[in-house]
Amino acid sequence: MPNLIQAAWDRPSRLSPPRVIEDQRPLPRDRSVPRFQHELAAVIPIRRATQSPPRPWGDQLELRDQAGSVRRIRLESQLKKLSEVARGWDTYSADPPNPLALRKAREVLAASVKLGSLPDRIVPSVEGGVAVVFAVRPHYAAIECFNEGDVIASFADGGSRNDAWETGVKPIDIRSFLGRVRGLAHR
Amino acid sequence: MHTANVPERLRRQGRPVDPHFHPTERLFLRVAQANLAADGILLPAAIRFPDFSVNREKYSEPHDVILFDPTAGIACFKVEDIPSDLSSEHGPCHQFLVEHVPEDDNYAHSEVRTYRGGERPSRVKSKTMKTRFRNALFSKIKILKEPLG
Repeated sequence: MPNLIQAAWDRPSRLSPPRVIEDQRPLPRDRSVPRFQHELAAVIPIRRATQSPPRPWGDQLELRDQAGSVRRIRLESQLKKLSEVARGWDTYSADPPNPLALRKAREVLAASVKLGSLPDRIVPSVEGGVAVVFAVRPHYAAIECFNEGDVIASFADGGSRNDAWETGVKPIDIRSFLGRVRGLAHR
Repeated sequence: MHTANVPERLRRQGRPVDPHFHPTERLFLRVAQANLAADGILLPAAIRFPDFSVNREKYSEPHDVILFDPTAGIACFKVEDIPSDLSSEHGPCHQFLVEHVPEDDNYAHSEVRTYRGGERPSRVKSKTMKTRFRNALFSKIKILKEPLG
């Protein structure tokens, strides 16, 4: 029955999957790659052979895989900690984020999770509120939720392009924001 | 203020206001860990508006801003980094200046101030103006010392 033997030979075996030798050594710190990717490298072994070079800026907004899950957990933790911030947290006299700003920031995060475009970090604002930062370098893009209820999106490239506009916190607003900053970044 | 710990250079001791700032004079401010991004970049959310305090280089050392809070970080920018003005499509134009506002225990104390039509508004309602000012300045700010912890 040589044909059956050949078929069994060709069929992928469930018992012995192809061996992949993973390089567990820590990756060198590449300043052009956001820090979270290096934090991630410590948690999830990365195959050196398949590691791609740093992605273009616009692509940094896209994370739908395992990396996205780790990042989402980190962002939710950052947001949770902001509810414990005390007045004067900035060493001057900044107000902590109030429940309204926290709720709006939570909605921005939920919308960005839904869209698969996670922020880079979530930080308190010295002006009272929460800044949801999507990118820092080479372009800065963020949505700031102020204690007064205003939500302001912004984009800056450190040069002539410096835009700020009012936005909402629903997925359609975040989609519009992401589209606009991508357009500005690639202009 | 623990007056006894204030270095001699910071004591005012009757010295007058010095309104002259060289464009390359550095201005120092304290920063908290929460507002630093990767690679020690200070985020715009750390910048106050319309007015905020700084120490001027001419009369102080960088670490004087953390004299009473040694765990805080130190950031700096130059006088010439402050945007001179910003206009909006529907609102008035705002001008920005640094002014020497000495205190008895901190002669170097200065303020970055916002003017509108020649007057200092107590607050600026426009959040987009606020955001654009902070975005214009943040890319110029350098971290001299990262906060501890």
